[in-house]
Amino acid sequence: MLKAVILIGGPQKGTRFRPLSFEVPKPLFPVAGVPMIQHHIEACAQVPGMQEILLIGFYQPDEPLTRFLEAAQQEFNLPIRYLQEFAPLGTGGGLYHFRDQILAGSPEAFFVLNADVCSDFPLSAMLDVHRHQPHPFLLLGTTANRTQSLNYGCIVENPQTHEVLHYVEKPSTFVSDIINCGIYLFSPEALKPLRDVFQRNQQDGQLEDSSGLWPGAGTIRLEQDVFSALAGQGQIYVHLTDGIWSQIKSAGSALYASRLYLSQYQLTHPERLAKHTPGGPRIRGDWIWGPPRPMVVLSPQLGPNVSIGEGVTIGEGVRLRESIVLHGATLQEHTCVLHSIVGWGSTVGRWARVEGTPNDPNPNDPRAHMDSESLFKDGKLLPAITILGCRVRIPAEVLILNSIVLPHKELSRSFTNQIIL
Amino acid sequence: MKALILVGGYGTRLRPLTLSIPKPLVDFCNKPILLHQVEALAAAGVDHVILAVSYMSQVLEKEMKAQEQKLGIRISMSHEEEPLGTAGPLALARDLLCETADPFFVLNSDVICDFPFEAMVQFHRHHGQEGSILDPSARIGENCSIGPNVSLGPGVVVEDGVCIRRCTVLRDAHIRSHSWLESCIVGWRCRVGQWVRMENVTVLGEDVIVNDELYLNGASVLPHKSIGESVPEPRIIM
Repeated sequence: MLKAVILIGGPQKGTRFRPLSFEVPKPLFPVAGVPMIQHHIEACAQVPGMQEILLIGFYQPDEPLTRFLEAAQQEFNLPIRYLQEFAPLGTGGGLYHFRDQILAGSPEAFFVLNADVCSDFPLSAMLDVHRHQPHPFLLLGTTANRTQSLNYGCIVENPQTHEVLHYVEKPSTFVSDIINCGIYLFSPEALKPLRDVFQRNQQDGQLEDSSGLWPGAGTIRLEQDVFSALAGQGQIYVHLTDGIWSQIKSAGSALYASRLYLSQYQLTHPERLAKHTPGGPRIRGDWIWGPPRPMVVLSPQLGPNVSIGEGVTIGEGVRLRESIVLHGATLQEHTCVLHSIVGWGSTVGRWARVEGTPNDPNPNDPRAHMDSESLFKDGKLLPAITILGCRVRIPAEVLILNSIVLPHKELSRSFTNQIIL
Repeated sequence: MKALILVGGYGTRLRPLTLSIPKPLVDFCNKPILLHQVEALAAAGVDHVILAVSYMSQVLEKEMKAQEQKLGIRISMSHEEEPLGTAGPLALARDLLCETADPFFVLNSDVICDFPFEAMVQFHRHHGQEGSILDPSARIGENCSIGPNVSLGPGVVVEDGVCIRRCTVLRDAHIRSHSWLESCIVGWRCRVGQWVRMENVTVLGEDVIVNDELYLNGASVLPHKSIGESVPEPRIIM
């Protein structure tokens, strides 16, 4: 029997996802119409022999999370539990801390997935590789181009045996064009090295450092403490994929991930894609809307790459492209929304223009991924996806370009390249 | 009585519009500046108007010949081969001016005077469009918001859901649906796409095409250009 662990992090993580993460924990943010981790859970539920899914993180179990878990358990008919860390324990600390729960029932192996990735989750392929030749750690890897690989965990493999010979997290110079996808398959033996790291950390120091620069007791960083340390010792192997994959660190990458998932929906979830209906909106490319159907009036043009939440109102003559519109928002007549995320319950006035700038990977390079996503460069705000937080009101006829508007704000004029508090 | 109107010069500060026609023929409230002056002179008793010209003089000549018939006055051209300043043209036209002993008017062609405003006020009251002037052959779609201070020239087509504020749209231009324009000049025969936003004294020269969903901020676009990318900061598109 198999299990899966999804690492969902906590409020200190995901700060690049503000202001959207003020309303909803990042792992629950809708990507291609469903919460981010629902894609993970769907993939796990499809692996034969999957018995239980555990979520490990540092969020307080609040209403959205609890409701999501209940709904997911019902839909997938699988026990799904949330294990809350007592303190942020790093990418490996939670695994060690909850080892008894993970190993209860003696699973043959367990998947470990980072919540903030978008992938086609080739879990069955990884399982086949593992069963053919079991090792404690199996990493899923993909290829990146030379410059962008520096933003990720880099893996040097033996091309014949696929053993991981070296692992460097975010190197300063080029190490390898194979990067870590944040999706792993561990056998129960993997917990032994974790225990060794834990005990060594306990001995090395009661480093009671309040600045948080050094790992506190109980913290284990999988990448630095385990993968880098154990590389080349016959314990860690890599399985390469060329399926869709992206990190989801910011709103911009959430939009890009949305597009990646939407491109798969023709095969995996065609029922989620909007279909052309006579008298309905003109549809270009792939887009979806959440149930129940939003109110949509005459002749708006929607798509490509558009996700629309529940209870959204779209007025006449609206143009919506490469954007996410969250539940309850209203787009009044003749607005133009491009490369933006419109927050829950926000209103965009007539003839207003809400526009962002995409920072998508080069579509002509199959190995290109998102660049390191910082907000500023040389003291100026980099042009990026425009984000309207929850319940923002945009008046008629203004322009909001490359800006981020914090929740509940009512604007009175146009803004360009700004963060509006 | 005679009048001399100084019409020389390239009107460089009114480019890109003056790349297509001479400045005195640029429409001001749907009528060329020069015509405002000539009509006022005719009403004041002038029966012979002399135009001191240099740039695009053939275009001017053709236009003024048509007006000669309509107004029943004589219009002559005095060609400057090279720029003669403001007094030189007077000397050049001496023979024409001294045919009679009467005093004569001398006007700069680009001075706006009081005289058209009476007509504008009448027009405004008649049409009630909050200071807008719409040529009768202009076509406006449904759910538009036109005004204040908009002039739409002959043959202009404005599709559904367009909002235009403080703009001049010249002859035969076509604004497609759901666009939003403020403080712009749209040149003759331009085609502006759907969901376009133009503001901040964007000037489109003759026959410019603006693709759908673009944003133009203070763009000065030369004639016959096709714009495929937004212009977020004011600049000149050649």
